Amino acid sequence: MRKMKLGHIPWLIINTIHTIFMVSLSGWNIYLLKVITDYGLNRQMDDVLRTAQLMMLIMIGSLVLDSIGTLLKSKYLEASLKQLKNHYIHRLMEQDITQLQKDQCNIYRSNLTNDFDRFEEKFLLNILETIHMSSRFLMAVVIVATVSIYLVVVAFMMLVIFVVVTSKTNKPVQKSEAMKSKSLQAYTDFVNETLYGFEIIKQHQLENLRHLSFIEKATQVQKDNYTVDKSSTKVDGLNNFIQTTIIFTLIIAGILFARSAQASLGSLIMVATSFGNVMWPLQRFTPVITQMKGILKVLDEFDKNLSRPIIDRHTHVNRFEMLMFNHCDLGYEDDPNPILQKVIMSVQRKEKILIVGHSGAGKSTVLKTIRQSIVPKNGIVTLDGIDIFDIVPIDYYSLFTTVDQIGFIFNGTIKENVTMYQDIDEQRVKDSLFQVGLSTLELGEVLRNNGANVSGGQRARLMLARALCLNAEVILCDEIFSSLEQPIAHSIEKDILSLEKTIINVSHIIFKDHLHLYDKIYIVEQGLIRQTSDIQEVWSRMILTEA
Amino acid sequence: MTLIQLLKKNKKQLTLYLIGAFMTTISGLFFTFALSNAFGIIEEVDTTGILRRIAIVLFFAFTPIFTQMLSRFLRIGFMRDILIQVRTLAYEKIMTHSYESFKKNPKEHYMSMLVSDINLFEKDFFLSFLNIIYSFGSFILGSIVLLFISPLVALATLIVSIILFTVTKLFEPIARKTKRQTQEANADYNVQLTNILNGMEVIKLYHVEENFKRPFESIVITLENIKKRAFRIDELQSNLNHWIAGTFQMLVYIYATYLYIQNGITLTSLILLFNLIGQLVWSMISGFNFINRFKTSIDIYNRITQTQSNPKAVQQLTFKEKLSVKKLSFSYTDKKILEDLNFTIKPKDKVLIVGPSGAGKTTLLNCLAQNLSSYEGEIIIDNHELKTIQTESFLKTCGYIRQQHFLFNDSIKNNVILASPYNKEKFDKVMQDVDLSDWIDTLSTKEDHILEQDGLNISGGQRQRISIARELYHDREVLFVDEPSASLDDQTAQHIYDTLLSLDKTLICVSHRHLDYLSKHFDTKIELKTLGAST
Repeated sequence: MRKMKLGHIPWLIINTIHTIFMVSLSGWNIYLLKVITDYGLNRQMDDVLRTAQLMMLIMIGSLVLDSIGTLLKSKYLEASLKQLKNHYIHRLMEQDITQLQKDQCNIYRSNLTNDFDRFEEKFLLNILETIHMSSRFLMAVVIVATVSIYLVVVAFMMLVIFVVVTSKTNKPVQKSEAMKSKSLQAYTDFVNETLYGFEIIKQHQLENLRHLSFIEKATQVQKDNYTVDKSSTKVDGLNNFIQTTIIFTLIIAGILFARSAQASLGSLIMVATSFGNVMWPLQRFTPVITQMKGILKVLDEFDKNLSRPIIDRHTHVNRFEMLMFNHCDLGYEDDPNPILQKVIMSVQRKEKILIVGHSGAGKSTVLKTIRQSIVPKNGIVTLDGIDIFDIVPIDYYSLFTTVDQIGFIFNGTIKENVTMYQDIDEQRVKDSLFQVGLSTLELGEVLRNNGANVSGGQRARLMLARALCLNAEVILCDEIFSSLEQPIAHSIEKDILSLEKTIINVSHIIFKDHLHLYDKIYIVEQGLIRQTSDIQEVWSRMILTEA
Repeated sequence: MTLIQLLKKNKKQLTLYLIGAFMTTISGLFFTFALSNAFGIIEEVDTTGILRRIAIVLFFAFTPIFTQMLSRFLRIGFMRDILIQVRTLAYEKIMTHSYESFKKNPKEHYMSMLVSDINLFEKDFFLSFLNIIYSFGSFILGSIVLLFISPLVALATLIVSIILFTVTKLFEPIARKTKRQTQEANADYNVQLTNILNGMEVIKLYHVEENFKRPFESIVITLENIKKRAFRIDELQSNLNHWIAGTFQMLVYIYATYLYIQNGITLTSLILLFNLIGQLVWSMISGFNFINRFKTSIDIYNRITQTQSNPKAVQQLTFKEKLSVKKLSFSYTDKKILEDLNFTIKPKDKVLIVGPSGAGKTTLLNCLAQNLSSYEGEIIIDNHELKTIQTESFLKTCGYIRQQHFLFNDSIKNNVILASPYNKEKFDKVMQDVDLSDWIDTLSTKEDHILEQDGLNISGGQRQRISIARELYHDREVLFVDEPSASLDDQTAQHIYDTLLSLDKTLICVSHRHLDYLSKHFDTKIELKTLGAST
């Protein structure tokens, strides 16, 4: 991201050209100021009036140019932010699936909202301002040069000293900006938790407790902000001091020079005016540069958040024959103990696999491993003899489709939610909705707020319709029956088992009359997984379910 | 609390802030003095005169640096205090929502109130407040000086100020409108982000990154477009003002030159006049610009902090005789969910609500649990309509196990006991009731095990059981239960049902599974049907 810090370059260039043009025009006006003054001093009334007319014309011209400038500036901002935000999402989408942890979600969000806003405010706008200020400074230098070349040398020395000073003084500000970013993050996380837990907080009347923590978080944000303000005040003060020293040394020197060289009063006024015009921008120069440098840390954060380990996977696959777990220990990265040990399992093309076990036994762990959300602690999983972590990710993922208990419903129509924006025939969408018993829903009905307007059962069935509609080789079912009524679950299982697909069904709900339709049944218990062919054994564990 | 009340509450800091703000007004004037005195050097004849002038120039040039630093230190404390309070007020506003009114907006809406809107307020309010004080302060000071040099120019300046003011006024409504549009576009953008960020793994799995990039890109286009419009309007106004001011400055200078030719004024006055006019008009412009920003920031403040007072329910809940539901109906916008329900529940009854998915089981539970109040018909508990019963008192009696389980980023223990005192015996009993004891024993930190990010590191069944344990621990007289066994295997589910049924409480439970078993053990069964559908 840091490479793209300047935003949309073509628009930036156009803006720069425009700025230079604008500034030259105002430089011409300042020159005319000298002319009119000298005419005035010589009491040439006619020439004064003639020059005044020209000056007015230039003023009108500059109004038109200013308005064009506004259009160009806004175009630059728009183009840059579009480019940067889209690039961010693009990079995010390129992340490896093992990197997409849910806890990063808030960081990404904060990057794409807060941090981009700050970047626009404190960097992009400041680039334009810096260009403007530099052009005015250069114009002043040119004007001064028409009076004396020595003054120009002094002016350049000013510039050099500025650059040196600004690069040295902004360190403390940078540090505290980073600190502020961190406390803002903690604040955002807390707010997010509160909003998601709203019902529970209300129900158990935890408002007071949460309120206190909120104040604590908010106070920390403002305290850090205060620290930023304090350190930047000191920096600004120091910079101001240096600047004022330089500027007034220059002005006094210029005036003394003009006095001894008997330069015309018009020239003197011209020099003073152009310096008057540069004065304010120059005072802004240092804080602006400080701000810009401070905010670049944000881009570095972006890069850090979006960085990923280089994934060295080259093997291509295009079909699915056999997936094998070869004595694998499965578990989570941050937990040294594996959840399942010595897993031996094989899935062949078009096989129907059932994995059963108690809640928390580790059934989902198997699926997460297949989906590469977690890496085996020991041993490897192979697809047709190839380690699945050697296969080009996109080849691998496109073999699978998952139906799970959480499910991702996005703000869009039913149809879009089923097809995931892929180009799929409407009839096929209807068929799959019919298959899962959702034929009463309109394809165009809009789902909002993560599916708040569909019930739990409808949600699970939508997920399933999606899986049926999309053409993946293997369907992974993760507890899909848990929020469905028995008759619907029963008929859905029957439909799934009749599909010409490989099915891996993880469930604690089973139907006795379907058990014989599975090719293999695995039981997960006490950290182990084993295959069984004894339907009676499976059935005897399930006391309650009846078809 | 209105903004004025908030400022009054912080009188001491406000005073310091105002002192600091007024201090800045002299800096512009001092600068003009420094400059005109520098020109005075030309008129000096001897070295002592020149040195005296230089001393004066240095005094006027360097004083503002120190006053500005001092001023900033006086101001930032106030900024910190006010922002902490504004954040708190905005947070309080959100938390005063009832379950029902909270649900009316997506979470992103509240999120952006507490994040981007406050940032906007922080950015605009203080900056514009300071600049208004600075601009009008230095305008008044400058005008006084100007009156001594040329009353006619002083009068003209006043007229130009009025013109500038009119321009600003004309732009005001449209500026406010675009600001509001920007906020709305920001909220939409947030919604889209939630989509993409929450679904990232699924999006990857289905390999539809490109398809999700498109809607994201189009919302970015919309957002940036609206921002562009807002930016243009801001800039257009400021350009116009600058142009008026610049032209006026030129005219004054031409006029002053004319006066000089006519021997009306001296050379020094000419220079001072030129600089002073510049300073006055520019500060006027920035002052007017900031008035609009100031107003919009106050709009934001009002939007994020002002609460409408809800009528307070006063009745205390007692549930000794019966809960009766009469002619209960409920619709979401245009969709009728419940129609004409009638039933009665007595204390300690075990009630089972069944029906196909989409039939309104959860909706009925939400009506009974005081989460939805926009129902038609009556729900009467011991002679009092449910709507008139105080929420606090209702919650002391009723617990609710929801279908969506939420876990705090905290230990298992704290997730169960929440704000109640810890009773180890009771806690252990509850954990046994939900079959979690064995699991807890395997954890190195036992019940102090931290659940991260809404329970990301545990299974769905464990999440569900912790939620159930939470309600069991709080031991309410009436327990509403929505699908307690959804993510559980049958053995665990049966154990939990047994536990729930063995409680000496009123139990109102929604389920679609294990119906044969449950029908035998519950006293009452309420069957719901899907309305207006063929199933």
